[in-house]
Amino acid sequence: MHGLIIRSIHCFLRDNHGPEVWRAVAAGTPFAQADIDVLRDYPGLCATELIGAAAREIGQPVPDLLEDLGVYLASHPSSANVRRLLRFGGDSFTEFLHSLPELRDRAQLAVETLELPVLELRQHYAGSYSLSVVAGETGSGHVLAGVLRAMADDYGSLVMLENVGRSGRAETVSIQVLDLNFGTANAFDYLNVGAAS
Amino acid sequence: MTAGITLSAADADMLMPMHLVVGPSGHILSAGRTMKKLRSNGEIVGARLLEVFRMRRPEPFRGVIGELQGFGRTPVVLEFRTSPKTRFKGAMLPLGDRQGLLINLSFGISAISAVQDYGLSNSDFAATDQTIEMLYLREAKSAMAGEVRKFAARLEMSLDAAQEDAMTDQLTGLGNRRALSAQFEDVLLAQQEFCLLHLDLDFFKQVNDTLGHAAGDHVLLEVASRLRSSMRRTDIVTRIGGDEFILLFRGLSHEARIGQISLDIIDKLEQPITFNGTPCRISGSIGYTLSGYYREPDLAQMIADADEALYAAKNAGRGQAVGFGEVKEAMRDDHVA
Repeated sequence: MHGLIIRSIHCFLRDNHGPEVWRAVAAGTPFAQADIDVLRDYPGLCATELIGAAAREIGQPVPDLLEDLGVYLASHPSSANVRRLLRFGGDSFTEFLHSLPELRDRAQLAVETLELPVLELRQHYAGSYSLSVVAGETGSGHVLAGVLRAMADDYGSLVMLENVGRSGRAETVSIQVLDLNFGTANAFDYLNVGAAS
Repeated sequence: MTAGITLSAADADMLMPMHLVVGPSGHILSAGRTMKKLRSNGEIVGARLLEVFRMRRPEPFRGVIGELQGFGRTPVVLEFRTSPKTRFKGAMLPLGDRQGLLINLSFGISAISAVQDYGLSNSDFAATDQTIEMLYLREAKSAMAGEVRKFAARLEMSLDAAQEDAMTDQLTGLGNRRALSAQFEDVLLAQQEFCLLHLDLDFFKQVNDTLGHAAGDHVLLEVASRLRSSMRRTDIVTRIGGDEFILLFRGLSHEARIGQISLDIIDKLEQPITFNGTPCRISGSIGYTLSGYYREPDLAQMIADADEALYAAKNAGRGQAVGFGEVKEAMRDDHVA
């Protein structure tokens, strides 16, 4: 698993559940002692294990925690960069959905060593989609659902999400866009003017 | 044979939101939706092409609109004449027989300032335009650089902490031998006179033996604090062994003055230290040497010389301070005798 993803999990646990939860999770990993190198991959470590350990520590079901992680990535101030990069996908939630199949390539363009799983979008009829994570870690559908939930909120869209579960190598989330302009979208400036770097 | 293509204005607008259609007179007849966004109404459509834009390419160009037809299909570079002087690149092709020109433009590398100047977004660009991807990449790179900077800062902090740990005596918090070497270098760099004192506690072993190690540790802590309080902030005190300390005083070169300071320190150490109600009495012996004795002061040599003076101090009875100057003189006298 890439250092950037581990770093995200670290920040998520620290911000949402307290530094002691991260310490408990990190015990027995290289990060008990050393810092997470955000430029390299850590083969042999997987998100599911880290989140699993955190779930035992907090006493919360793993799927809930995974979905919270997704929400955190797309909406928490500490993770503002991720939210911004996702918003580059398009001016509306629909455009954003259509940009997700290229997310893997986008990520790799930015960070060569970062390998995100393949995302596949299918549109069944207007406003009805399913999005699959192919060959991701078990539970990646939950993270995806969290990201989608937070991003729909960010675009001011009303959507219904359902984790359809795993079939073969894919985990699928079904998405019903009920009202694209239900609320006010959060402002997004393509140039990140006035951002506190 | 290829079929000719006819585009309606709406088609052209969809495919080329930054195009211009220029008539034979040189006036802009129509423009794409994004192009029109860049200036107020009437400043583009209806105006003369060459009044709105400066042609940077093709060259040589004498500024006559009719001449442009003659270039045929060609890459172009245009620039707004008024501020913001956005630069465009694109392609131009003549329409029919002297019917005018079609120019399709993009921001090229000036996209970032253009997005800033005109507040453009994804939908302002042609579906094939890579401007937003370029902005995305720029932001992703800078976000990543930020992460790397933060990582480097965290590493630096751990490095500092590790270095401090490595340089500090765990019990007293005074510097250790490694710290002494580093600080000795600093003092040398300052090119200032200084003196080096080697302090060895007297009767410390008795405290350890009769009252135990806890009492010994307590005494060492108290000694450290008394030493600190008798030194200036710029002076340096380090613990280099069980009950051995090296002190560096900057700017001190007067032997008699150093002798007096040494005796004051010994006085302070002789004030009883109470441990669990029991007074512990210790003293100290000091040997010292001055940077002025050396052409090129060397830490190991100075410690060895101070050590020799310390040995003389111990021999003279406890609670004494001896300078290496005296020791040298005594040695010379021995040789003469």
